[in-house]
Amino acid sequence: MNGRAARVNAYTRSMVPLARRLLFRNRGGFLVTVAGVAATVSLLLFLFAVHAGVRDGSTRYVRTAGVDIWIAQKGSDNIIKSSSFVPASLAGRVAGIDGVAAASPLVRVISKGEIRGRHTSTLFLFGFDPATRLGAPNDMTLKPGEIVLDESFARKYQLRIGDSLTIQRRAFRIAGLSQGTNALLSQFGFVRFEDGAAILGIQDTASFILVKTRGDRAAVARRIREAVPDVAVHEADDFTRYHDEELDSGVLPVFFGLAAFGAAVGGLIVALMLYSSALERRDDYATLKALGAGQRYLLRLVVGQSLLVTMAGCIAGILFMCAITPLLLRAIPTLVLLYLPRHALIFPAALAIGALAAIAPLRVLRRIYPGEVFRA
Amino acid sequence: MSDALITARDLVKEYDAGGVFRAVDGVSLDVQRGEMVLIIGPNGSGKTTLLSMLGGLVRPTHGSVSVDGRALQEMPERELELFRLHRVGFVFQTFRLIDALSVRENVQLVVEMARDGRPEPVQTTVDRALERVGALHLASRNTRALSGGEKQRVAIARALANDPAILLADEPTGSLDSAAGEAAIALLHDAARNDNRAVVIVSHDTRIAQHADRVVRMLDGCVSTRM
Repeated sequence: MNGRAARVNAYTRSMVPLARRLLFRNRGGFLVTVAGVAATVSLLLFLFAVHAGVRDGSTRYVRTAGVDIWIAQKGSDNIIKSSSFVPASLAGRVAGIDGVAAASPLVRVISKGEIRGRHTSTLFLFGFDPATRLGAPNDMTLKPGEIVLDESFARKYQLRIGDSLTIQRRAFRIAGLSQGTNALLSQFGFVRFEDGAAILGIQDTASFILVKTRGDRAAVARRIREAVPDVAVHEADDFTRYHDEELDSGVLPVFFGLAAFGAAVGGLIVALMLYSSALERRDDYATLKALGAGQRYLLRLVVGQSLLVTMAGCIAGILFMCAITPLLLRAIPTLVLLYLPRHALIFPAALAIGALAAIAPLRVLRRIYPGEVFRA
Repeated sequence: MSDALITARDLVKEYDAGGVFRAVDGVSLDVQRGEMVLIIGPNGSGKTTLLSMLGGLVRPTHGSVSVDGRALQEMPERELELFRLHRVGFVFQTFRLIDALSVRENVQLVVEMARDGRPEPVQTTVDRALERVGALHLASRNTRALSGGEKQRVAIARALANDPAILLADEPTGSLDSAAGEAAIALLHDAARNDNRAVVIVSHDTRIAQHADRVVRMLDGCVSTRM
């Protein structure tokens, strides 16, 4: 079996690379098509990387805030796209429930900042309790009047540690920078709870109560629901999932729409190239038919050309994205591009679309009449 | 002739050209192994259409073509393709080499198509075919760089590569100077005499008549004279 496989392999290696030669015969068309496929692949990679980046930026804080249970206003299940107001004093009541290790309020304020008389883009400002540190972005200790800013936001406005940022006429000294706190359209900042509450300007009000548990988290959540029935009690895993779902329902259809449109454009570029190549090389296809090549042979030839041009386009697209990603991130500091292993599925998908594009010239090939070879 | 390799009977080919146009009108022809037949006649006399039907490129409207007793008009398309691949070698006036390929690759292509993936020594077959027509030294050249005579040699090598029983040539000297034309005629004659192939040539070139076993003259789709 191995010997046979080796013989067949050796035979295949020596076969006439007709598909490649026909492609390269029209170098201009080939290069334009490769560029078209590369542009499509780059666009798809970019879209999926942005989506993954936004998703990560929107949920990493929730995932890493060290919180086991999030208590919110009834009907509120995420920190990005829903409002929530609960009494800050509820934290003390919850802290007394069996199984609760710590509970503290988190206030969220959505506001623009001001630097040197210029407004910044919108910040999601979170005020956490420095005593429990629940909801803190990192292990920094914040003093009153200090802020931890999202690293990309600071880069966008060329802010450094020690600089000052004004929010609602209150000046904050930048004490540190956080990562994974960029939701693309807005970035996060972190202050002490009392500073956040002062900006909000409403007494005894928090957005969420954050809970650290001892032992069985589900049992603690159940006890909190029984003790405080008029709030929403979310275990951390559920709360993270709600963020994913919120993001997917809002953004994913747009991304998929753009991706599908891009893929269709890429497929059409390949189809157009194959179609015009079939017309241009009509004499060659007629000769092949006259010599005994069947429709299946010609189909394989066209699919081979399609796969070659698509593969070349994929490779060019990857190289292009490798080259341009650092430039993009430098030019747009708040852009988050996260490349994931599953994004590699773009390549088999591109090859499948390329193979599908081979349908375009089939009618032309079928209508080529082998007797054409006798026309001088 | 019961031992004829090709037997054509009452062949008719009609085309719809804003009315029925009869390109070939009741032609019968037998060609034996080792025989070289020249078909001559003015333009539009139906020579090439007849050649196309003999090679299984065109199906007759009426009548029959049999090769070794097998009726071409009854073969399904795939079988007809295999027939052309294995049993017929074509030589064209304009050579019809694929200019994206080298000389060797042009010949190798039809050998590979015929071998259908089996690991036979393809290169040996290709080299033998090129050597046969004196074109082995051109093997690595691009076909675009060849003279007309060289191209026709390569085209004949391609036609012979799968060792076909039938060789059909359409104006094989039409694009060649006299020396190259003589060389091409000699190769075709050799294919009939020494390889025992049935060779049918359509041409205006009267030099070929000296080498042909028979000359068939066509006029208005019919055979007017047999010599």
